Amino acid sequence: MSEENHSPVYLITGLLLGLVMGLVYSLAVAPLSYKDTDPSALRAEDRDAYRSMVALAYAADANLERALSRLALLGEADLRGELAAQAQRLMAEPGYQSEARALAQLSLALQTAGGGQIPPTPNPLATQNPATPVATLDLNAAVQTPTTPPTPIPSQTPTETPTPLPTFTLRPTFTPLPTLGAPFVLQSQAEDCAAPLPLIQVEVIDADGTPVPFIRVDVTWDGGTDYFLTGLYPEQSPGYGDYEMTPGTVYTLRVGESGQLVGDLTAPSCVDGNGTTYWGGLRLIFTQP
Amino acid sequence: MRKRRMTWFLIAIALGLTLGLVYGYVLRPVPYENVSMDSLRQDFRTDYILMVAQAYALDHDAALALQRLSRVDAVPGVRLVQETIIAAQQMGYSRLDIEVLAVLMQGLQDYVPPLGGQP
Repeated sequence: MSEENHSPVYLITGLLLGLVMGLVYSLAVAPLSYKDTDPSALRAEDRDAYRSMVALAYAADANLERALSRLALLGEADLRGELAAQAQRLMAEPGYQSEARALAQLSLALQTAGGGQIPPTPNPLATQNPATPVATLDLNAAVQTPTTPPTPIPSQTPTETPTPLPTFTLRPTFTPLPTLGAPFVLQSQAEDCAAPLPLIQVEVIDADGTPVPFIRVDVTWDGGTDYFLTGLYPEQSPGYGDYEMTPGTVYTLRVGESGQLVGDLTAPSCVDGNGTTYWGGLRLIFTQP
Repeated sequence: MRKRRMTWFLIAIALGLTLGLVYGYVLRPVPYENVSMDSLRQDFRTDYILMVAQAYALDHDAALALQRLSRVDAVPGVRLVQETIIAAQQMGYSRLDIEVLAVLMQGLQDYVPPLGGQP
């Protein structure tokens, strides 16, 4: 009689004991790990590293098609936006200027070429070789030791489009970029009540009258600093960049490392046709003397 | 009776174990994201290392190239690039790409790391 009373308890105990053992093993001791993955599965840090390498490789070979196919492997919808955002982030970190510039340059190239929005097939290689376990998530194939051997896919680069890398030797610089020349000075400043937001809109032009992309513009105000790059809105102008002001805050701005400091910048108060007031923007043009 | 109870006890453990494994590996596995670079498939690794070589062609910074390579594999950089050259040849990469990789390998062979650095 006593044993009958205890029987469910020992069964439940055994079940729970096994459950705990199974969970500990599958979630902690030997959790599912993936091998032979594709770049779209990378963690954020490695995605950034991958993106940087794509941009640097593009700086080396100027092969936009190849860069685009590599970026497509990340499976991101807004390639240009991701590139520009990463360029902005790296610009603030010492030692990453060349990467930031390469990212911005690739972003600009995508924009100019009309790219940057990838159709929803994130992995063009998968369409070339549907047998690979990359295109679809097959957990069984991904567990521990995949049975799929490395896929002998040819280069991501179509061989029929030869890489226009002239030589693999020295390429001293990859962009006709700015300029440690004369510092940029303010040429004109005007209120812009047509601006959709209270923006500081900066246009940077070199001594020849050519708009200059990828110039860092530092913005400071009482209690804060920030920066932005020109060239991320080439549809406006390659030398254009903007920054949204907080109304009532007074900003100081400097273009380039040794540019002229321009202070007392604040969002102007504008009035529309109905007598309603709103915050307008500022438009500043900087040139090299 | 004791033997029978023990049998059922072991069956219960086995059942629990199975449920735990199914939960951990099938129902709620580690998500297919947040994967590190070293888990990339061979052809993607090859392309990444080619990009490292292309970047090296720009900056000729062997230390930086080694750092970038270390994301993919812990093996010494020269060996990794050698393996990649072989893989790239098998995958049909262009001669130009192979040469870019060869330049990186040469640069890594000539590179003398600072004291305490990794070869």
